[in-house]
Formats: sequence, C-alpha cells, structure tokens
Amino acid sequence: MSRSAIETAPLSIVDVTKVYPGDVLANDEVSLEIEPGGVFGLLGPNGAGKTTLVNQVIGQIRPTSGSIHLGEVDLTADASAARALCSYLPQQSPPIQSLRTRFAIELLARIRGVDRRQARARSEELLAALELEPWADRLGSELSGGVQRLVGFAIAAAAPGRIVVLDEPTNDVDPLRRRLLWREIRRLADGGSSVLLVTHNVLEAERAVDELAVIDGGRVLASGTPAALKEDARDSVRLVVSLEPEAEAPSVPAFGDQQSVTGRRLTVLLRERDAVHALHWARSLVEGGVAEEYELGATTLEDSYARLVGPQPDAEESRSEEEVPVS
Amino acid sequence: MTMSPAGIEAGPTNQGWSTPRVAGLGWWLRSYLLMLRWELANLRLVLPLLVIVQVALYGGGVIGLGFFYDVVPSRQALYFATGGTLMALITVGLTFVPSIVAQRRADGSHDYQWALPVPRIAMLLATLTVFVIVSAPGATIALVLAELRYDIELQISPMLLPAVVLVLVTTTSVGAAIGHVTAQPAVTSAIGNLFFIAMFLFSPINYPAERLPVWLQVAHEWLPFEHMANAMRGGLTADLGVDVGRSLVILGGWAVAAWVSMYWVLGRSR
Repeated sequence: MSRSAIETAPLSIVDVTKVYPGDVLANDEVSLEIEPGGVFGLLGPNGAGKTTLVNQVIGQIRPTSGSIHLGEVDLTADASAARALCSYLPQQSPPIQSLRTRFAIELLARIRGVDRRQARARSEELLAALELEPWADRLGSELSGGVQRLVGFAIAAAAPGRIVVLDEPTNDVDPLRRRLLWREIRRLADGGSSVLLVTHNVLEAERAVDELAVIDGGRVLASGTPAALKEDARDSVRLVVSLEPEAEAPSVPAFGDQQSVTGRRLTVLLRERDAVHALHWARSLVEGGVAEEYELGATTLEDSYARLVGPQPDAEESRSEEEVPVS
Repeated sequence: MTMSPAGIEAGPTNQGWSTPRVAGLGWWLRSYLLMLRWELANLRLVLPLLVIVQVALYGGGVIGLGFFYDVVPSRQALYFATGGTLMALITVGLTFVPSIVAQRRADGSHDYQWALPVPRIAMLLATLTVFVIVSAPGATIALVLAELRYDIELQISPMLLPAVVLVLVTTTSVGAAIGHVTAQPAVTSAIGNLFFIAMFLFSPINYPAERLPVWLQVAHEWLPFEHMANAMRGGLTADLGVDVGRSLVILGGWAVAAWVSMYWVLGRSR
C-alpha cells in the first residue's frame, strides 16, 4: 500500500470485543471510524475500557473478536505494521528514568526511523515549543510528574506515526503548559496524523477534540462532534446553585429534568421554557438562607456526558484546573 | 521506494508522520545498535555496580573455594577455575536477568519497549549483549585469578566460544521467562537463590559428577548444568577428559528450547 493510500485511509475499528481471562469484558462490540488529520477523543470514566481499546490499535493486545484496519492494513493481524504506523504515549510515562531528556527524545525518534539530524532538529523544536529547555539535560528520574508527561508526549511526537495514541497526556500538566501541549497536538493532526486521545477530562475534550466517543463499561455510548453530542440538551439550560455551607440540598421542583450535587454545588438541568420558574425558585433559596448564589447558563458537554455515564465526581475538579482556554 | 513486509512505503520524514522502513538487513542492524544504546543508557546506573559485584563474587569465590583444602589437588583446581568461570556466566542470567525483567514488566517498561517498531529478535539480542558485557569481567577475572592462585595451565580452544554463547543464551532466556512470568522482583530473587544453591552445591560444576548420588547423576545427564560445565571445561582445558561434543549438542537443545519458550512467554498476546 502506498503512502498516499495510507494518507487518506480512515482508521476503522469494527465490532471490537475484548474479554480478559476471568470473563472480564473490557470492550464490547466497539465500532468507530476515525478520519486522518483530526483529534479524536475517547472519553470515559476510569475503567471504561479506553486504554484496552488503544492497546489493540497499537498491536499490543489482540481483540477477542472484531477487526482494526487502517485502509487495507489489518492492524490486528499484523502487529509489526501496527507498531510501525503508531506512535504512543502510554498512561505510565515512558521508562526514561536513567536517560537525559534531550537524549531520550532523539534516541526514540531514531528508533522510529528518522535520521540523527532530523531527530535532533525535531527534538530541539519540541523542547522549545513545550518550554522544556530547562529540563533538556536532566535525568528522567529528576523530572516532576507533569514534566515527565510532556517529555513522554515529545517522544511520541518527535517522529509521529500515522496514528498517534496519547493516553491521558495532560495529567499533572499545569494549565499554561497544557495550552502549549494542545497546540502541538493540533500540529500533529495538521501534519496528517490521526490523534487518538484518551481522557477523562470532559472540558478538555469539549474544547480540543474534533470528534469524540463516550465510552463506559466497554461500550460506545455515543459518538460524534462535541456539538452533536450536546444536541440532546439543546433546548435545555443548566441552573447551578451554590448552597450555604451548613444547608441541606433542597428538593427540586418538577421542572428539573436531571440533578446532581457535587460538594456544595447543586446542578439542575431544565427546559428553557421553565427558566423563569427556576430563577424564582433559586432566588427563594437565597432569600431563605439555603443558597449563597445561583447561575443560569447554557448546557455543556459535561451535562450530556453526565446524562450518558452518570455524574462524575471529578468533573468539578477538572473545571477548576482548566482555567486557561484552549486556543 | 522500499516496500516493507507490511506493504507500507517508507515516506519523507522531515514533516508530518513517518513510518520506519521495516525491511532489510540494514534496518535490522540499525535497530539492533539503537536498542543496544537504549539498553546501555537505561541500565547505565546499575551496570558498573553489577560488574563490581560479579568480579568480587567470582574473583573472590575462586580463591575462597581453595580454603576447603589444605593443599588443593591440581585436578580440583581445574574444577574451581572452570566452575568459577561458569558460575559467573550462569548467575547473570539466572539472578540479575529475572529481577530486571520482573521490574520491567511491573513498571510498564516491557510493554513500552515491546511497542517500539523494531524487530523483536534484534531487541532481545541487544538485551542479551548487555548481559554478555556484564558477565565478561567477572568470568575473566575468575579465570585469571584461578590460574595465578593454583598455578594451573589452561589451554583455551575455539570450542570456548560456542560454549559461552550457549550458556548465556540458555540462562538469560530462562531468567527472562521467569522474571516475566512472576513479575515480582522479590519472588525472582528467591528463585535466583534457589538456582544458586542448586548449582553451587548440587551440580557437578565445581567437582566431578561421580561424587553425587546416582539418581542425581542421572538427572544431570539431562539437566543443562553439567553440560554447561563440560562445554566450558572442553573450551578451557584438555586435562579433564570430558565429552564436549555430546554436551554441546544437549546444551544446544536446551538453548533453543529456552530461547523459544522465552520468546513465546514475552511475546504472548494478551
């Protein structure tokens, strides 16, 4: 198959089921079609089966049934083709504890097939783009978790494969550098790679991916663009009420479609036509000393996500971490 | 343009994505050398320590064994010299390799390395090369010290090379398979100790097989340790009258079986 054929071929995951020994069903008939030159998010809670799925794409795990193709290349039958076509940032950062950052990026780029000069040029480029120069000559064991993540990304991006698999690349990365990381991820997609991004951070997924699939219990619950996934909540609004510290969560009147409490935040989804009732109700809570303040706004992907997989305890945490917008 | 076995054309690498040319001897050798650099870089903080421990253990061991005798008979001295050298080779494979491999499996390094686009045999041979480098100084020093201390004369023959290769392939393969299956450094170190005692006290490595009970002699006709010892003795001296040919054949069988099992265990798809 020629390079130009691979260039335009979609990654097709068809009915992939993976059962681990002990009848543990990790993926259940997963089917996805991923176009080249985009960022595709796999979004789901811990243990949803996301990592198992990407490990099958890179040829590390064999599906129990189903197939994964890039154009005509069968990645499940030909693990060596899968390894050649995919570059990969694992969930645990790469084993480079005894290596210096710059050396590790260059050596692994060369192992992925580029020559010494290109490996060096690309390594310098990524060190600069991710503002990693202060750590360029440090040992892997001396790096903080967030910097290790960024170096791991640089290794996967130095000689990127046609498919780039990034398993939770932003974990432990500070908000400013996350922005740099997203910019580089976008560049990989612009260069023609399909970026397959595993995350459990809904807000990141909403802002940074072109398409995504929500996975839970090994199944794809929904897939499409972030806007399409929000479609079901289009005529809904969300009311967020901040409760007084000692107050008990009040019972929500009949207009509430869906509600959740995280810490002192009560979130209620409701139809647009009920917004006025809801505002009256919220004001009465403030006047009655139950709530401190309230806010009415548009629904987010988080609301659709919560509807699909249930409310996530770390959703609020990710909101506060993610203060810098993704460009 | 070169076509790979997977049928993917190699493309320009200066921008955008790239795939390595996964075909040809040049690619194979390049992968081997790069993986050797990767291994040496990864282990560079522990390698000097391993070498020092090996030298102390087997250089010291070969001298220490002499204290069991008032005067070491010259035939026994030959056993110490050849046996001590062999022990230095064997223990790298059966003690260091399992703990390093177990560690790698536990911390995810194995999976990471296994996902790199290099031929797996080149990758495994690069790892094997590192352990050859680790075991060489200890084995050489054991041999030299034995020669000086016991005033013996060794006749090194070309048969030493296949003997050393087969010993290292067998022991490192068995060690890697054990490390990968147990995946716990604490367990592998206990198994390593068991091997050490089995070899040191109950195998005809540092003494002739006739001293063992008959049933153990029979067992050693098929176990690899006596054949490793015979193959080494055949390569180092002509004075112990061993049947090197038979031992090399049996040891060759062990080496192939050990390599194939190791390859299967490490490469098994999950």
